[in-house]
Amino acid sequence: MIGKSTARIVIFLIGLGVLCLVQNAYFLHTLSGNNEALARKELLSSIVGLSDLALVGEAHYVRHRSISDVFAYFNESPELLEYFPSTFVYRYTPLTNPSRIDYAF
Amino acid sequence: MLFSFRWLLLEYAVRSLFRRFGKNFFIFLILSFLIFILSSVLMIAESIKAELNATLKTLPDITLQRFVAGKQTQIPISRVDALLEIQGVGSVTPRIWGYYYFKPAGVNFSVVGLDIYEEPYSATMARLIKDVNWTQGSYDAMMIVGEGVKTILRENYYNDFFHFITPEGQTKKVGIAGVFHSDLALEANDLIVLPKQAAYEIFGMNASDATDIVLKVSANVSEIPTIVAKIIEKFPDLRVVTRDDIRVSYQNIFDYKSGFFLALFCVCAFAFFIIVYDKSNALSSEEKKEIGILKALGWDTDTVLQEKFFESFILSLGAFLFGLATALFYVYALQAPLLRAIFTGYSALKPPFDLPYTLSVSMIVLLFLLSVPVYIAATLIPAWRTSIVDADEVLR
Repeated sequence: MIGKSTARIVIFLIGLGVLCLVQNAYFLHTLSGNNEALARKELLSSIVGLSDLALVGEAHYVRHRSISDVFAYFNESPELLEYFPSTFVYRYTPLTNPSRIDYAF
Repeated sequence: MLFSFRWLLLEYAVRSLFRRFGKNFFIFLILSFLIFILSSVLMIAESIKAELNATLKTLPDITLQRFVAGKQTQIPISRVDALLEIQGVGSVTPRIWGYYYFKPAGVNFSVVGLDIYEEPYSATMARLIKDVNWTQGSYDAMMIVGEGVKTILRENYYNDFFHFITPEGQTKKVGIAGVFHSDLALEANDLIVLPKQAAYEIFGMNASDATDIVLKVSANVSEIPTIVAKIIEKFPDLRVVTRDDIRVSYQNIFDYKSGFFLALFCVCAFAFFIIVYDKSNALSSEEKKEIGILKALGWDTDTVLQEKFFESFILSLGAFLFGLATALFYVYALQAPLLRAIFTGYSALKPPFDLPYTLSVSMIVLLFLLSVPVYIAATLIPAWRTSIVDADEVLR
């Protein structure tokens, strides 16, 4: 009933699907981190209390989004304009209630 | 439909795909590439976001910073008592921390003042540090450093200690007591933890001041807005940053970066679908003839469309799965060379780390809906146009 080329295509598609699933299972096993490491991270951040990752040691917001540093004479360089709301920590006034951050609490 | 599945029609569609192999293979490649790029970017963003969110819940509920003339400055520790009086506030901790710029390497260290060998820290710190040695010897104080700091100091010939330079121009010799565990690279790479007293001297700060004050809310998290309002009323010069503000700002930043790519993808995908639509709109005379012959042989419009649907569905589903599989391999097995730099950037103190694996169903559904149905629509509509014309008119 099923022709040769159909079978080939179906096997190809199923193969791709299986490949995705196998990768999913493998990475879930190897890369999702163990509990001990996660516990350590939580412990450190609860003691030290710095929010961001130590990814870019030059940016003023690296460890907290408020302190400027020796690299940032302008808070952001003139050609990179601040982009609201992405580059900000902000709190809306109690008088307005924008739906964007309704889920905040 | 389910019970009378037309296997022969499927077979016909597959063979028709192979008959125009070159063209279809090209479409397959382009579509897979588009999906590959977009899903890679989304996966990297998801991973880094997961890494940030992992520690988010341990951050203090409220952070208070003092502003004078629009700039953040030190906050007097004497305000702690007034803050403790506010209902619902559990604990109040003044913190001393900041950046120390190390000129020879051009990097910023994050220096945090904590009396770590005192309770309650001493027991927990032992889990975070490797090869610790507290013997102070001739040093002014002892510190714990991140792996990145240790490496940079070693490159500058500081193996066991470091000379901090205070604002008065004096040096302060601080010994390295231990290094943070390598699991903590992302959180602690640029970190220096030393006693409060030493931190005050290094920053040249008054002992009655703190960098900022953090609050823990005692029980009810839904009280935070009320507490915030009370604090602002009491101290109008304080800026209040809640944990949720930080979470929202993470969300914004990653939405911004991956949204940028989503916008680029939309443009690319739109152009691609226009080309597909346009090409099949002016179906080649051969394809038109084929539809004409099929109709002359007695196929109705329904069957022709079904056959075209099978064709485009196989092609786009294949491209989708292929793009997804290669993206998974590229991002998590190869750890996304090149593309990762968009999110992590360049830094002299960049920590080595593996992207943690997270895969959200909503992302996959989004990718699927952006590619497969749109492609099917772009090919079905022209085919329908041709197939509703009379057979003899098409063949003529």
